[in-house]
Amino acid sequence: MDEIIELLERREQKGLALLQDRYAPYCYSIIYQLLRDHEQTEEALSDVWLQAWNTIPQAKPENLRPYLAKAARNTAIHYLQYNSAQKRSGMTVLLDELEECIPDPQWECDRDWLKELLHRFVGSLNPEERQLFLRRYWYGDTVEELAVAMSSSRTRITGILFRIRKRLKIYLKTEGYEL
Amino acid sequence: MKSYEIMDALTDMEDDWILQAELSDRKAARKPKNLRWIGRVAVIAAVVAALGITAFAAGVAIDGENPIAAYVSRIFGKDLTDKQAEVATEIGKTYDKPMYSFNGTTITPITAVADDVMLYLYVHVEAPEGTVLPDCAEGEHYEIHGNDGSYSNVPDIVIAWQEWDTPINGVTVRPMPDEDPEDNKKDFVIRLINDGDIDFNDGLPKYLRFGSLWFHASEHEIVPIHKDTTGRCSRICEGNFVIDVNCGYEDAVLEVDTGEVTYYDEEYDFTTVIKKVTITPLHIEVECTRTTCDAKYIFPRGGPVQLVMKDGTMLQALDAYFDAAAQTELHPDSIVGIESFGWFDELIVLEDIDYLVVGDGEIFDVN
Repeated sequence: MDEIIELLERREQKGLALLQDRYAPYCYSIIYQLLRDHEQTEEALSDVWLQAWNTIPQAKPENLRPYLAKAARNTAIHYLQYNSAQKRSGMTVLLDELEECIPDPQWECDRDWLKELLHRFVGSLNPEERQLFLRRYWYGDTVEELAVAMSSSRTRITGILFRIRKRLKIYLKTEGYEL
Repeated sequence: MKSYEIMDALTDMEDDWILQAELSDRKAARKPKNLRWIGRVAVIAAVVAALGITAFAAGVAIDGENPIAAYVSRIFGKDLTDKQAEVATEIGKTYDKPMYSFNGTTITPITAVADDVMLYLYVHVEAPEGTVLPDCAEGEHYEIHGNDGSYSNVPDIVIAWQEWDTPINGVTVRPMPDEDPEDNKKDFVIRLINDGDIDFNDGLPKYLRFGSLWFHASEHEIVPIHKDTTGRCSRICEGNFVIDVNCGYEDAVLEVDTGEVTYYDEEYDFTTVIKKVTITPLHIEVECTRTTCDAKYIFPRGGPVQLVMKDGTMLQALDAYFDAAAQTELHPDSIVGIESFGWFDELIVLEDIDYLVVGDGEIFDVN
């Protein structure tokens, strides 16, 4: 088992210190990509360490990196939800894009079923599409950042994401109403 | 249904997908290790030795309307023209994050200015009470070192999403003169030159990480500074300093295709073919190959490239660096398509360059 997890299980502060030392830049970047605000990112990061301290001993994650990534993302999304000011920042475009995927404004879906649907949909994407989709909507990368990272043009990235969103909307419309 | 709910429901994706999205294409986006790296390191080593520290008392109002320009003025030790101030604003940033503290030492990043290759970081350091942060006399200098576990004990750049950290070899730490050289406070300019794997200007989250700041009381010797037991080196502070150097600055690049201009080096009797000159406000690169040389292991150099500005001023960034670099040995198989590198001691306004003088006196009109 990971040394850090063992230390956290024994409730030793050193485990938390090691966790922060190793993963702080990583978690910071995930949160910052979504919040785009250093002060809030610092606050959210503190919440992630608290979560990690409280949950890792029980969860015993096999791989700390994705576990912390999810915790960081969850925390960032909660900050987004409770801070409408953030919506005026870089998240506006991203959320508007996801809004396009909702079949109609009245459409409702159980959270667990929505998670299942999204899981299936993302699983159906080819590797490049999946990377792009997750980088954009999981990590919050901008189109410009994606274009640089993927050595591609902004237009091409925008086009691929547009087509994926269109397919997701159809998928949610057809599958989502089967409940 | 709101878009937040979709964002939220997306979190529980497969671990593998998350990691693949995080890592794979960013790995692919890394620039390959190439000759450019070798060229830079060689030249950097030479220049670090050649440059002294310029004493400068800045006469600018830091709290004025343009703090970036004010600090960039300090970085270069010169007052900026209006156009230079404009360029500084385009390629620089100020920090909204107040400070990084560790073991009683606080490091406050204030301003950064960068292009893809170089980054100047202006910081204020406040060491624990009683620590002296002296000015540097001749032969004295400051260094920052990596954390103990880092490669070669040099500072490194941590890029989020990457599994690895990239050591930064070309680091200098220049103290800024202050009113009280006997106290525990001092401003420094940390200059980073990347080794080909990092683009400071790509907007990706990245952090400079270092573990200690040292004062070295005499010229560097073979013993690594951190192992020195003679008392010439003193560690100012130790910790795990991670400073956000995420840069998404405006690109400002001037590329001049020089065709096949040649430069004959009389001293070492070889000819270089210069193919392209790239200039940013901070540095210059010359893409060249060597064609003939009796001394097989001499580093190719592009010769002096002169920038002639519209007001008639002549600037020459490369000459001194190449003199030293020419003494560097490289295997002949390794000298095809190399890029020589140097930097300016002032901010270059690209639109003010009138023409370049390249190689054996060829003139290339620019603006």
